[in-house]
Amino acid sequence: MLRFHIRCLFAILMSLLSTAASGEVIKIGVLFHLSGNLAHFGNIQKNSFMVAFEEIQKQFPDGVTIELIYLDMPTQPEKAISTMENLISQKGVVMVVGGLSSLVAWEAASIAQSHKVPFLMSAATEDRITEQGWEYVFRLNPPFSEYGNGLQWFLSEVVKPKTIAILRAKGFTGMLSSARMIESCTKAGYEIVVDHIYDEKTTDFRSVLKQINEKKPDVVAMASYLSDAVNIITQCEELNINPSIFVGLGGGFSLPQFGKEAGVTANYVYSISVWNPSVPYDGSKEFYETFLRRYHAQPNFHGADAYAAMQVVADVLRRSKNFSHEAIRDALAHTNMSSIIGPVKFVSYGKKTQQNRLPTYLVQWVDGEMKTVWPPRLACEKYIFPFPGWKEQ
Amino acid sequence: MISLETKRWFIHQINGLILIGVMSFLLAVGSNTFRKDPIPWTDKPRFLKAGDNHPYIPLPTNKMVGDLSYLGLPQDKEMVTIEDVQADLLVLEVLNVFCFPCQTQALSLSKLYKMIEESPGLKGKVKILGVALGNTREVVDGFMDDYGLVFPVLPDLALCSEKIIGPGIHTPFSLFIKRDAQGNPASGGRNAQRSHRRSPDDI
Repeated sequence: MLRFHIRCLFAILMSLLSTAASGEVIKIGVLFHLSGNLAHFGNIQKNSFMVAFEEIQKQFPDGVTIELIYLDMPTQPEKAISTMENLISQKGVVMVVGGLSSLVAWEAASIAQSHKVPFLMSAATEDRITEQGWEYVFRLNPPFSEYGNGLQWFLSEVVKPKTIAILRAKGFTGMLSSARMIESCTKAGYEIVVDHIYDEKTTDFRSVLKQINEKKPDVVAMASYLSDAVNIITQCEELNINPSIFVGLGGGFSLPQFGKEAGVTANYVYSISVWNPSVPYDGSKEFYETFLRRYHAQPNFHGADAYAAMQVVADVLRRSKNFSHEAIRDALAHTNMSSIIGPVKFVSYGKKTQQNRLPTYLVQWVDGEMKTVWPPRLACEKYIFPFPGWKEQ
Repeated sequence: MISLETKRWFIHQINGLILIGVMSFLLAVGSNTFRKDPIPWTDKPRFLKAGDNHPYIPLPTNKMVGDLSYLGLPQDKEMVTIEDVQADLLVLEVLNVFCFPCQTQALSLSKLYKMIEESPGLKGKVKILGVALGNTREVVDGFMDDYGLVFPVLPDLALCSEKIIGPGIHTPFSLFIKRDAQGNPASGGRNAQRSHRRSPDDI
């Protein structure tokens, strides 16, 4: 009897060992900027990617072990080339995910294309990246030219402004650059009555705000960082400036701290957004809460994009016929799924190829919370328009 | 044994029949008789229901992005109307170039346009026209180029088409307009909320 038990145990052990030995290890290259001036965003991306990986690794095919190979993507394009080459040639990855800086992502994408290794970009915005006909390059996030669409749609159908005043911090590069806002307003036929560029360290905006008040614009648009965003809106209240809407072009106006620091003064201020936890997609709020609990910080849209990229990777590996570069590319090309940032399907339109199409949003601050109010069918609450005035705060 | 060519011919005929069937369905559900006294352009915005008469819509020809001759519109008139459009069925798409679902729908309408133009039974009878609510010609130009659209679009910066889609309704908004039995140029009607929510992909 004892011999029988020993034989059984031995057989089970051998079977386990043989499974482990035959289990395939799939290497996925992950490129984020983990040092340098983009490290803050890169680490949010990495942490979000890890949250997603832990949650969905059980969905991977049986007998397959996924190994994520994180490399710090240098912010200098020339160094990024060797990092990408290393990932592909030395580490033997089946696909690469990540990116943020467009200059760097551009170089990485061209390397991926020349090696015929699928590259899923989750955050780089340069339009031209998906206009090269690169068949191994896919982009999950919207291109830069589409970031302001939610705001432009709202302006042209709800606000219908004649005049706009723009305040912009020097060097601001938010979701919608102030230069692009000026161009969009001109093309849309709105008259820009004030266009004021200020230094980031400015704290007193009263003089320019008085000028704005004299012009009575329909829209006051602001391209600001956090502290200047708070100062501007507080001083608008002090001077009783009452346009139809106040709108931030992302930046400080889309940060949770804005609601905390400005308090009720932030009420009814709009901001453009490409993701926030109130978007109506499964898992979006849960991701936000898990991230907050684990890292004691709020994830931004780069984090959500990274999480969604991991969801796409899991889906692609499940559907791929095998783990060759070609098979994974084909699976990516046939992606049709839901993610925390919305539906994912890589399509061609105009000059773009293999570009996921996503809407952009408008959020409105109400009692310290950002609510998605536009587009209408994705809104969690009805927008408040026009600005009801400071007494209604 | 059926030859490959015969098979192809057969499939082509079936596709044509399906397309004609779909268009006939649209004609049936989306239209009614056009009254002789069209709703003045200055009327307040209101909801149109399926079968309602179509409002009078002036079209400034110099602003049109696309081919005027496709719609059969005269080149020498500054303003024309929907009545002047030479079609048995007009798919009128009220869109906004910045609106995400409009962009998606416009891509599908472009495919539909190509299918119609390739169908001998429908070419010249069914036409597509976009009206871009609140958009200038410049942004419409960019939109057509960025999305590779082929059907004509009329910029409507004056928000005239708002009077068609009704208060508080946003783009995209599809109307199907046909000529009536008396041969009046265009008869009105739309699928109200149904067409508003249907993508041309479904069509």
